[in-house]
Amino acid sequence: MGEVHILLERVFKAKDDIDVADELIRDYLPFIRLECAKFAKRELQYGKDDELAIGMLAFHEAIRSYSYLKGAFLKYAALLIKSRLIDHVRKEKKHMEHVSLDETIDEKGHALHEVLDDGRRPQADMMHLNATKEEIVELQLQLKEFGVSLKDVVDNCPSQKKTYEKCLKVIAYAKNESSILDDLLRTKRLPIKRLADDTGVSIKTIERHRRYLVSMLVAYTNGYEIIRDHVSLMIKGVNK
Amino acid sequence: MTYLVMETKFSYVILLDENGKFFYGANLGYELGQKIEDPILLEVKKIKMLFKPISIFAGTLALACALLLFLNTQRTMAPVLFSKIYLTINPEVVMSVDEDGTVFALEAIDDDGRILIDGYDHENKDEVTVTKELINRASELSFLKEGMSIIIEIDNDEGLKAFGPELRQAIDQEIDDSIDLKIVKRGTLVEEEVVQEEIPVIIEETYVPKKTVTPIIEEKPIIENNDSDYNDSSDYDENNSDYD
Repeated sequence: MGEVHILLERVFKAKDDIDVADELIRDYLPFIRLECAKFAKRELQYGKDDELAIGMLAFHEAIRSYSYLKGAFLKYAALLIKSRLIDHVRKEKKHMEHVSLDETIDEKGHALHEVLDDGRRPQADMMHLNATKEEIVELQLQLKEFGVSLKDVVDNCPSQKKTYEKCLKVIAYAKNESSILDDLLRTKRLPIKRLADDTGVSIKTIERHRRYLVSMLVAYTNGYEIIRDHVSLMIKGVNK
Repeated sequence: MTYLVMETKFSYVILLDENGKFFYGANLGYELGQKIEDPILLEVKKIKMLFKPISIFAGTLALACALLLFLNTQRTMAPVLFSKIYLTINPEVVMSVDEDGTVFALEAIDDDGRILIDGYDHENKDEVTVTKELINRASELSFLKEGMSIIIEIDNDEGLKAFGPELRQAIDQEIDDSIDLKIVKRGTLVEEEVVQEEIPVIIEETYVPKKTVTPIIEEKPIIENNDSDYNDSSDYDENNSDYD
């Protein structure tokens, strides 16, 4: 009884903090592994089997959506793990219907992957990956100076289309105003009032998505070319 | 759509898509800085427990009880009220919900509320669906506009705990940011507003020790020269009051 109570206390604490949820998942990995193994009908290893990773994500979803009305938490989590894995299998089946790279394409028995150039240049790829890593770490460190972490940014990211478009409007304006970017870096504060006055987006919207806006505007300062290049579709929206 | 892995943790990763949106996803052994396609993203779906695994004994017992109830009472089971949810958009309506959140009654409180629910079917719908649909109807009927507020009041603590977070999450995604959403226990919002409007009155009770003889004090005539009973050593300072 006490154990159940402690678990529920941890679940409710983990609802708003994904890192607390991450800790809970570490502790309940044997349970998740067992539920996934029941479904996959084989033993699963962390870092190797997708089913276990999906099971952990489903456990996150269970934490976020759980309420007392759902019954016992672990039963609820098991149900979500199972349904997520069923979804995964269905998706995989669809992929199986596509042409396989191992399929023979001529009379000589050549497989498709043998005649295709994958376009990969391993050394260049590795260098690009390292440069990307450096940029991301640098961005994380810079955001830390603003008291913002990437998980804050995810939680603060606009989900509604209208709100996202309003945020784009703010980014579009601010990225071309060097004084705003300079002030942002110097004072570590988003000039909410000025942005609201100049863009017509309400103070409330800017305040509510402050951490997201800070992260994107910091990415528009010098030194984040790879990240900026990645968000190419957003830039198109911003440049409209 | 390509996603950039921005952070990797034990049980999840943070991803950034090409639209500049951030997501949590399953960590399928990804590396920081890696670009991936078709990731498995974190979703919070509303899944209702249709049935719970029960033991044979409990099952038999439940069946016997159900049979007994049916034979003895021979009456239809009425839904059990768990909470009443008051929705004020401008039109006011009240939903009666059972423990699972199923809305079994929907009534209008005012005339606009009657217009809002006219022809609306709430059967077999939960509180989130009904609230969302009524908000959309209110918007279509021009009852709800930008800058207005939605107040959801739940009449008991259990209901607030059970439905509050769910409603908050679902409705926040549905409405525009300029619309203010309040979810409170029924009655608390009104009390807060009343307290803010009233000037606080502090009544100091004089402590009279028990079992002591109270001295007889002669009644003084009412002073009409606007002097208070406070002498000059009072803490009251007209120029330094906390009141505006």
